Amino acid sequence: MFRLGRAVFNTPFEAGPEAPRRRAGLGPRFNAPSCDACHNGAGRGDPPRDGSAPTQGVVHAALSSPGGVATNRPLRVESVVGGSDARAIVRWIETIGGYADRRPYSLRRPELELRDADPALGRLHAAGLRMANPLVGLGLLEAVPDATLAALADPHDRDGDGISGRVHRVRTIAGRYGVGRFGWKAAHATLLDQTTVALAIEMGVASRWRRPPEDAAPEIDDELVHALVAFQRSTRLPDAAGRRAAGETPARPASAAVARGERLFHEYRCAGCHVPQLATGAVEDAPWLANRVVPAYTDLLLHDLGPGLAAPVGEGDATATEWRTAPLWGLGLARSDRPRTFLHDGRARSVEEAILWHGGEAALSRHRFLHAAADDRAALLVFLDSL
Amino acid sequence: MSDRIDPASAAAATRLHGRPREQGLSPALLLAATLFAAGLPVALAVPHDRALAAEPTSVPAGCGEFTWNLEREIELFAAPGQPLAAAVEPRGAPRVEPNRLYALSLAPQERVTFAAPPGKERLRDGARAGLVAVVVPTAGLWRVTIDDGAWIDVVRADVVVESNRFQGRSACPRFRKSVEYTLPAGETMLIQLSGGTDAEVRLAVTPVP
Repeated sequence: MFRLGRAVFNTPFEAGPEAPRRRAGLGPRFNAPSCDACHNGAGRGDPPRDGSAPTQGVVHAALSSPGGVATNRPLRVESVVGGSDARAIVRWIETIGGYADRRPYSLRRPELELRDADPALGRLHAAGLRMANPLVGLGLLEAVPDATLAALADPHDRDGDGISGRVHRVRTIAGRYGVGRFGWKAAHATLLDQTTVALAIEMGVASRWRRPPEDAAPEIDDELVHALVAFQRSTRLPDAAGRRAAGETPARPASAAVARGERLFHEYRCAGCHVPQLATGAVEDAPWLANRVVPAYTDLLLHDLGPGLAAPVGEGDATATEWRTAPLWGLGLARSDRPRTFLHDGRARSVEEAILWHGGEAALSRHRFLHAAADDRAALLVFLDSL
Repeated sequence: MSDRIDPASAAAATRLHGRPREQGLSPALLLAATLFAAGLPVALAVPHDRALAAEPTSVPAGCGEFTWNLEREIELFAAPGQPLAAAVEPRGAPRVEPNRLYALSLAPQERVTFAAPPGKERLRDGARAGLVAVVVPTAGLWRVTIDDGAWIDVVRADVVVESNRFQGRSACPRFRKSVEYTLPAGETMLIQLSGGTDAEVRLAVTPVP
């Protein structure tokens, strides 16, 4: 199933009567023809350059119908025939700031320009960009019990530490409620939910579980959907995380910089949200995932990161300023053909820039980073790169 | 389910059907950084330099999305290409010359014997594949560019050569993807295409400028 799922993940789907049966169903409106197109090599999507359209991400729009009902949904920017939902161009707006020691930094944020919007969508109020998430250790994340995450939540900040993470309860395909953990706002509790939504909305491929608005019947076999889920459940961990998950003792002690950075990570309260370690419970249909350490550096909860990172609108019960704590494992992975970018819209061109965007519940942590000595900041970044 | 829309956030983040902003110059950013470092507080919004985003008038719409200099490829792919049947096995793979465009006809993938397993496996339904041979005259960086979404492998001595980087854009009418490799001079290597469904794929091998 893993191999079949990997093949499905890599396969561009097609439209039209001549499309091979198991590759048929693309569109009529879509964002990408394959999973791999955005999650290339199971990695994170690259944001567009200034003045270009996003190709490895999604534009989420705030809409209102003529009757005044407000919704939030991804726009499909490609189409097989006829027009798409809309076209989007991204412009990057840069600002300059400075650390307490007067060293300057630059931050950028995206501004979207929407063109050729389909009038049938209703009134377009605003849109935000969301890049494809890396697909790392998804099986382990899925296998963390809901109760574990609920125990980490502190929605009323009873311990007074300024951090008030909360679970995002979402309805699953199975009709039950579970703790959301996939997607930038933890809108999906299971990989089956996440996968079938992505197939339907990003690729226009209808499954038995979810269909895009334009499709009446399923277009992809159940077998291929389950294979996709099986593939994603088995996505490997980065080497360092894999060793920690296996409980291996490092061959060499961490460098002094990494050790210092780890200490600062806790001192600056980064670990308040980026919890170093979770654990899976029993997993009946995937025993290899059961009772495993998950060194993901996330609590998978929603946290308010402030107005600077706000989306145009929320998603489900998640507000505009709330985001799922991003897992930090694999942060240090780099490819020579890709710049590394971070945060939901790829605005951060470095881990450092991502830290500087943290506000809301993370404002105190950011403040400590801003006022830290340069070599302390550098040590923290070295530690994060080691994950 | 209804969600509240924040007008303030919406206005700040989105321009609907509007005209492009005037773009500043990167020296402004440098000035701002210099002023800040000199102790003068600076907090200003400076539009990002768009010089790189401007498309030359000769670049077809959509091809400007690539971030590499692909002028040579854009020029080559303006032509239909020299027809050539790709081989179904390594032995007998026809040779392609650098800096020429070819229109390769591919076979059903189940009929093809690859020199090495394709680097990215896809569903075989309707898939087309084929092999051609290439010898590059100088060692260094080379590109293989095609007008299809098929997977490209360069194989040397039965081993897939790892690519350096790649670019893919569906909006360019001339070509779809370009993959860069570091290749040795004077050695016969195989280019194998797999996993696409078009029976004809145009291909060119070009040096990186």
